[in-house]
Amino acid sequence: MVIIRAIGWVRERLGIHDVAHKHINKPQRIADLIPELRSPLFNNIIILVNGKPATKDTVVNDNDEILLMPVTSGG
Amino acid sequence: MKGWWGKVLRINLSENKVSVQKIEAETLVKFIGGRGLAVKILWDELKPGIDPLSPENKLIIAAGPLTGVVGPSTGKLVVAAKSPLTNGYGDGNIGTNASVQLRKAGYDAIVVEGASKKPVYIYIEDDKVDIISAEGLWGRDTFETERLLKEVHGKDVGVLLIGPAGENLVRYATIISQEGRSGGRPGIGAVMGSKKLKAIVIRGTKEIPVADKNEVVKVASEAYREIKNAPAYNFWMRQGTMATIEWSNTNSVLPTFNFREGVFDFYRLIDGYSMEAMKVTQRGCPNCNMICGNVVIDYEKELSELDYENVAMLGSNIGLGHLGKVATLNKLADKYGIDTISLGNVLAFATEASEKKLIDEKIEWGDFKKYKELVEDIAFRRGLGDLLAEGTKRISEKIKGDSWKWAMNVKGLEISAYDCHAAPAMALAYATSPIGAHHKDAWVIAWEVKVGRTTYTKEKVEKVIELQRIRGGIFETLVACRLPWIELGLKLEYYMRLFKAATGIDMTLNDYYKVADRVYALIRAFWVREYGEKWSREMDYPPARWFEEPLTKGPLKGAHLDREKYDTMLSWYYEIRGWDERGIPRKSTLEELGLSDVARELEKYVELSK
Repeated sequence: MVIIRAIGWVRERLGIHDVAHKHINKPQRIADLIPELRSPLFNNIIILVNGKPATKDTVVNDNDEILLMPVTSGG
Repeated sequence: MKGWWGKVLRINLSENKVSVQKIEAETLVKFIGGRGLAVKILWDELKPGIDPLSPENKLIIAAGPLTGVVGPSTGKLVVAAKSPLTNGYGDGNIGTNASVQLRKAGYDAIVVEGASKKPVYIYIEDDKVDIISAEGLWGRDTFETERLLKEVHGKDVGVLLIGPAGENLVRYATIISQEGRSGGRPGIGAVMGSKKLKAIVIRGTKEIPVADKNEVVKVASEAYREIKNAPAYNFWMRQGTMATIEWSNTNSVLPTFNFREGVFDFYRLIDGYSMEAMKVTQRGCPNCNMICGNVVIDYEKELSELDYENVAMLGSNIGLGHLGKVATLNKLADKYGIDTISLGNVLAFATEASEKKLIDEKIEWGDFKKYKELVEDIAFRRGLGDLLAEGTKRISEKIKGDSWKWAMNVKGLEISAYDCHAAPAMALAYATSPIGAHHKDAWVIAWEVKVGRTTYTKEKVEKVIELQRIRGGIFETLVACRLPWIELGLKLEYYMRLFKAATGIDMTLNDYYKVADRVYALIRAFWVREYGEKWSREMDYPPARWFEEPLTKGPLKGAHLDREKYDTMLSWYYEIRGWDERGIPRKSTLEELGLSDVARELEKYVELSK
């Protein structure tokens, strides 16, 4: 099971609530696990896997946690 | 010359004199406007070592070539002076109709000199300038005063004004406009108060001169369209910067309990979704199609305009998890004309000082009633408020103990709303910001989260400088808001195209970076001239708390900054900027930037490296 968390507009665009879970049988690229991310809309988002920087091409394993966030500036 | 008027309106309040001064085209091209023009005037005209609250200080209101010109978020101006909080260069920008009116009145900047003996306000209508008694306005809050001034002069005027905090010389008093637009964090409102100047009211009727009007409209239309089509546009219009509460808590950078922690247990109660539930309307700056001022009904059933910085600093940082009450503190700060970022720092610092028995007064985290009393006491300098009105650096010097370690400021200016226990690049950005700790110049934290939090690399230093060039250089001199670019991805090329259409001058991004470097070097020279031999690289350090007290909770529990590695980053920073190991621009750097005269002047105060 891969845990997917997203915040801000990224969460709303992906239609995820606070946390989503996805079953995987073998290691998978994030872009394959969440195909919506291939859209150019998500070109400039921040992706972390288990708290470490990642990209759409990062391969995730069972029990990994993906965090998807927008770039914001806070004012 | 198109794009600028080439005119500064100079008002001497000691002598009741008004004059108009020409600005040479060469100066405008070298410094552009806004912050660039402000620091140039302050460097040329201020005597080093003056008391910032004396008549010798000068208050600068400066626009840029894009101010008031149709284009994304160009309704801004810069206010600047020698800061009474830091004793260095201080500025801030405000999105206000006053910026558009200033340009339509035919000026690029206003310089207010001297001080009046009695309260006055200035009324500007194109070439006509009146200095009018403000005896009947002195003591009133900013909301009421602006309403009264608009009843007298008409609803369409632009107004810049101070509240009781500026009148009472609170060292972090700001200048306010339009009931909640606030700027000049390093006490520029106190400088205005020291001149007994309650307000500046402006009406302009002229057409701002641009080189190619059709091209301005064409580029602006394209840019507005691109903003509206951005993937985050609709969400931005709902939450604006308030979305950052959740973002910061998720990334453990939400300032909590005087920057002890980066996560707040009750963040959901003050986040963008809570704000949406309370929102009644939105406000924004002129020429903006992505307005970010979210207005809610506060705990006292009045309107309060919120954004991330004030909610984080008057919420999580003082342990207050009730957005209605946060909104009330924010509204009071706006009415009195107090900077919400420094205020949130001061209230948190006082609470910790009370906890550690360094002050007698009992203050507890999240105690809204007490905090509300303190905000009023600060504005009117009553009781403990008189000390708290001095800012964390001076309070710490007074109450002593180890409080200097958790007085969360750089160079005296309190830190804005991002905890840096695990963000070395953001810590460097705060520490090298040209006005003291402020996020405006290099909000590098999002990029740092993207590339990795725990590393101390040259790449990070280069990114800080790149952002300082763009945010602190381009946007602060044009003058325009950075949010369309940083939040919604509007390409920088639009601003270069708008600059060309407005002025007729074709500048590349690299040309502009050189302007930014020139402005940064001049601001640094200003600081060094003020501090003389007392200047050292220690001035470019973040507070000790982030080095010595690890986070005790959240996903980054145990994290803290590494002093030695930070110091290495600081050396890289100086090296890339062409500054020496003390953080002073080298003579060769100043010469290369066209600042040979600055080098000659600075050499009178410190020895310059070659």
